[in-house]
Amino acid sequence: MVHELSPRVIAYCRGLIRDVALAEDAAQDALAALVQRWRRKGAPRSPEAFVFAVARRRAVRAIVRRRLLAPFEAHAAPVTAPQPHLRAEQSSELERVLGAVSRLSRRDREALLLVAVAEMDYRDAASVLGVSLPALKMRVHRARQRLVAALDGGAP
Amino acid sequence: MNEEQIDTVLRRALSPAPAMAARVAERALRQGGGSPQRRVGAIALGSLAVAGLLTLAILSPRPGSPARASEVYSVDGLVVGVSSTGTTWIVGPDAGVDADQTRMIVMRGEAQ
Repeated sequence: MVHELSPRVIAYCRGLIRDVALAEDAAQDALAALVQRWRRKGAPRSPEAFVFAVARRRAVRAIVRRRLLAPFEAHAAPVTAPQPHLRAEQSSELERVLGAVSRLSRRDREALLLVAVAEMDYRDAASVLGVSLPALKMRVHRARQRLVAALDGGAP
Repeated sequence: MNEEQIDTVLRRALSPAPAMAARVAERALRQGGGSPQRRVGAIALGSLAVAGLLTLAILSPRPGSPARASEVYSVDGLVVGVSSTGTTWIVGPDAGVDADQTRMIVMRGEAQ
């Protein structure tokens, strides 16, 4: 279960945070929370919904923490070397997609990432976000439209 | 590009390498299964925590590789240590609480 969920949780966190290391940490925490929950109280009703709900909270914390620390890290952090293993083409596509995703509203972005990247069904995704099913479908539809427009060169 | 293709593009751009996904899963399994013995050690150490430097050597599962807390805080009744490597430790009386409740990581890093 944990191995199966891992790539989807990482991808979801990466879409929210836009930082591979922070996304990896958030995903690990969420999966660990699932393991602990399972050991102590048995399986949650929907392990998938549980882990993505925790991942969402961890990602939000990571974003807030990064914003708080940004002024300090700008002075303290060493200059990071470019990642040579990434081909320029892949890196370019990643940046283009992440850039377009980041320009979506937070609500639309979360809904789209849960459905499209985390591959959750609509009902579970609505449960994670605490919204109704029709509201979630509307958000996903709107996000897809705007992302298509953005990636095709139009205004998002 | 149509709306169906957008999901594929997103997944391709954001999916991690298989090695990374496996590594995260393994770490999560270890993190989620911290042994009771380490928690007992944490509780004992919590009573010793004072402002200043705190040695966390006994929490390390590997003799000879101690972690040291460079900062110690008291947060809502918990004693929280931050090691020199940036690892956060909860070493207070509630060290065994669910990570989801505290939103902090229990026994992370060197104690795994």
